[in-house]
Amino acid sequence: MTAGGDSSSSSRGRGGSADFDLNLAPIIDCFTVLIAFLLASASFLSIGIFEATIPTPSQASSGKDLNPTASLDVIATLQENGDIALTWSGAKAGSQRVIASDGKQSIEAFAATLASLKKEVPETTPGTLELRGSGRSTYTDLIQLIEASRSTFPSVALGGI
Amino acid sequence: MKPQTKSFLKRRNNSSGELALQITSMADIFTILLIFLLKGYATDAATVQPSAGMSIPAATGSAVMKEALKMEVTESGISVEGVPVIQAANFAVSDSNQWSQLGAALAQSKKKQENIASKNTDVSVSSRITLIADGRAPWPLLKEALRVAAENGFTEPQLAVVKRGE
Repeated sequence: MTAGGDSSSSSRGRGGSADFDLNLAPIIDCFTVLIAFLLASASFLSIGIFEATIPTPSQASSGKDLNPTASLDVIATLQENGDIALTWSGAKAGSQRVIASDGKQSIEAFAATLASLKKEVPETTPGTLELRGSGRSTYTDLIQLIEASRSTFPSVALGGI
Repeated sequence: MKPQTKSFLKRRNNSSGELALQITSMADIFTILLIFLLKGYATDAATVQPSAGMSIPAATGSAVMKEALKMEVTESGISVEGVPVIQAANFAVSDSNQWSQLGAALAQSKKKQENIASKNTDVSVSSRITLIADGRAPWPLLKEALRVAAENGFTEPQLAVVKRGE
């Protein structure tokens, strides 16, 4: 049995023995080109996502769900000065302002406030966090807030739209 | 007696002294590399190629991206599936009429989805849209882009971030 079948790509050894050498050079050439192409087009940037929702006008006008006291719904509004105004309703109602430190939003204080709120309310259904930006807030600010609230409020809505 | 040593250079013909490179092991390595790279390609559910000079914020705890329509917000404008729709300068949209162009582009994408879904029952119309924005993009610009998206049925934005080591 011959390896490859192409007489030019295999060489018969001395003395008529069936000693074949498969010519791997063209295969190596193909592999080199393929690997170079795949490495060049590979994306080494690992992109993840945070899922959010946009409340539709009907949802926004009707307000809350059928059992408003079962869950805790928090609205976090970023202020121009970096403060975060929190108002919550549903299982518990109230408001608080997370004061900015050095003109920047205090992410740790925001996360701690949400965590303490969640502890106080024995809710049956998970609540939602609605984020509203200001004229000065950026995409990074929003992402930081979503990241900080991920453990307490997995469901995030982008409000004021 | 001289000890036998293994060499990558294999003597092919003793009489002529011709040497052949032993490339079998190299072929093995390349095969493994190729399989590894192809597997990486196949397992990537969705790919994102951010524009040059764009800085996407990094975050932990993000989820795996699902395939959806991509809307990119950069310093120079907004594009849908890589096609520039809105021109901007330093995140400022000069002509507000351009928002209708974004609406038209999104409506066209939605219509395309609906056409595919009507012909193929395995495909469903999705309200997801992947927002790939520069970290410096201001909220008013994002808000307007998301409003137009929501008007055209894209009410579930996926906010893209660079995964940070957990």
